[in-house]
Amino acid sequence: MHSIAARLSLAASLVLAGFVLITALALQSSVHQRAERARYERLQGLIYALLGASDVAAEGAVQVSTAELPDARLRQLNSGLYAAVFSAGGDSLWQSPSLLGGLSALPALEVGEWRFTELQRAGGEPLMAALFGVEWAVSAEHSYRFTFAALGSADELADQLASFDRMLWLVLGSFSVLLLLAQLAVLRWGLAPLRKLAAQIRAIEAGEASQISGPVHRELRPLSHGLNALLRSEQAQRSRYRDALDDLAHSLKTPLAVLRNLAAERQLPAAERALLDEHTTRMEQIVGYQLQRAATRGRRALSAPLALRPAVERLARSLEKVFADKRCNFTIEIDPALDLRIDEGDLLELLGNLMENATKYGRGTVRIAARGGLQVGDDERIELLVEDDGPGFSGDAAELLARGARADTHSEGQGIGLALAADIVRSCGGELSLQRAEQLGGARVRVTLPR
Amino acid sequence: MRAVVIEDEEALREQVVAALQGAGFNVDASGDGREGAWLAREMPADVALVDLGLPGQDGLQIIREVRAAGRDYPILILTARSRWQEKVEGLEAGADDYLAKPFHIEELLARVRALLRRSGGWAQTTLNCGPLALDTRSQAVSLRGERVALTAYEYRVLEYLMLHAGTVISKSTLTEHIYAEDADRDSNTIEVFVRRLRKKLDPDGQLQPIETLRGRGYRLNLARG
Repeated sequence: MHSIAARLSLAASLVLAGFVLITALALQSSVHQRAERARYERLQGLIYALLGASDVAAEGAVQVSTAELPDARLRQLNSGLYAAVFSAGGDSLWQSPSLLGGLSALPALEVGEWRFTELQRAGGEPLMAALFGVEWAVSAEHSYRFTFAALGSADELADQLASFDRMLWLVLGSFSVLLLLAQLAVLRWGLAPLRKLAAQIRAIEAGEASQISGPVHRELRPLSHGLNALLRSEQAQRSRYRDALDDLAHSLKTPLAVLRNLAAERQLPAAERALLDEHTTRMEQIVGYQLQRAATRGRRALSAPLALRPAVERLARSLEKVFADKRCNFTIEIDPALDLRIDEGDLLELLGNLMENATKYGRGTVRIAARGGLQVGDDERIELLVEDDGPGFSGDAAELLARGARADTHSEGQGIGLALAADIVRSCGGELSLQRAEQLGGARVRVTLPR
Repeated sequence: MRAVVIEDEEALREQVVAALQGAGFNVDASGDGREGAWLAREMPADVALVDLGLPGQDGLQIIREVRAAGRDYPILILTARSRWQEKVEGLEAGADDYLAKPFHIEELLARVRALLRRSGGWAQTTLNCGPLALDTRSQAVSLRGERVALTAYEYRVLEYLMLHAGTVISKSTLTEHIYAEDADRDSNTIEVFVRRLRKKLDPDGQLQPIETLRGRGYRLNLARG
């Protein structure tokens, strides 16, 4: 479950569903019980009234005055309300006019015992029955035992209860839906500050903003303050670092240039001049290489993507100017929409070194091709090829790439530029390899970079 | 040839100036951005060497100003920040080449000569006009393969005329580009150099390499090739 909104919605829905279910079941059971008891109480009242309207002859015959019957429905056939009197042996002695046909077997009752049960009419109609055992004395020494029964149709109650149940579930269901909708609205409103924060971070990622701005809710304030502080310190540190490097480069390189030119002074002995020159060159290469390396920023998560083609075109124009005598011919095969997340300085440095090498060591034809959509593991990479029509790489590729790091050779050949390019590619999480150009026949540098 | 050097590091500036002067250049130099910008705009320069990091006004801005003022002589960037971003920005601002510090002074001179050649429309280091050949690297002049001995000033006049072969160069332009700012600017001496050149290059008067256009100046009339 990766979404807070989904978590909260699910939890709220489960709690709500449980709550509604338990409430409904409790309510239903209590209402059913009450309705049943009320029904039996009414039947009990009917029996008392029936007792009042009954008379027993000396020989034991039961007579009930129809006119005195407590409920008019007892006089209508199949009205749903019935009454009957049975002998102790279970024989029917009297039945209300509403009841036609017999009843299922009666349980035997003690005198004075009340029994509430379900019986069936001969036709199968289920009935709720209140039964009362009575001993009726016709003289001082003679008495009879009867069972008085009041019966009501069970279907009638069942219908009422079913209708109540329907209403209950309908009302509770509607309330649940309304509550759920209200909860979703509350959730949306409550999570809005988080969504806003996420949008601002996306804006920073896209390079449209440099800080989280605007009012922030109290609970998120520590987070936004922390993020802003982090961004500020990263920006400040980066520019401080760059300034320091710039100063260092400036302050080291100019004296080196003076020293280097001193090595050309004719007054000095030739051997010393050569030594001075050799060591100045070494110092110069070490300083140059390390400074370039240090200035490499690597891959930046919070930066806008840069289009590749314009950078290549800018460099091609620059190199055409610098190598005017070579009459360079740059072939650029790059989709204008192809972009990647990289520091602009790093991109120019990488392309500049590779394209300069290709121009310098080739015979003037340079091909730069790039394409996206290279899948390595989970991330998409772009592939960049820089090819020339020169003699190609000689010797071990690993040694060529490591040359800059050692900075102990005199030749400024492909080594320094290549090693620098390889460093930038590494710091961006990509790969660089040296190959032979198929069509042009010269050197080919293949670079893959995360997009 | 006249060069403007704008470099704030004094020791390096002096080395560069000395090397350029040794190679026959008249040099106007400054260590300040604003003064350098003025020199680059106003001096009759053939080439400028501009450091990017300068006090007063930075090198990129100087280059833009020079180009905005309509000056199209070649500009070489000298920079300690040898990142490609700066190089590209400098070249886009209007510079023609860059040289990362520290550099060999010979390389600097070679680049400057190459820029001058290119700005005159020459692709090779040796300028060939008819039977005349001038090697810009060794500053040697030969006629039909025979070495011709020239004085420094004679060489400068010939180099300038050959670089701009086919173009009319006024006496005042020649004077500006051959002499240092504070030197005696008598245009008659130019006539003397031209006369001596004609004598050395065309003793029998058949070649007629330098044409005089009355009131307008001189033109090297040999075909490039």
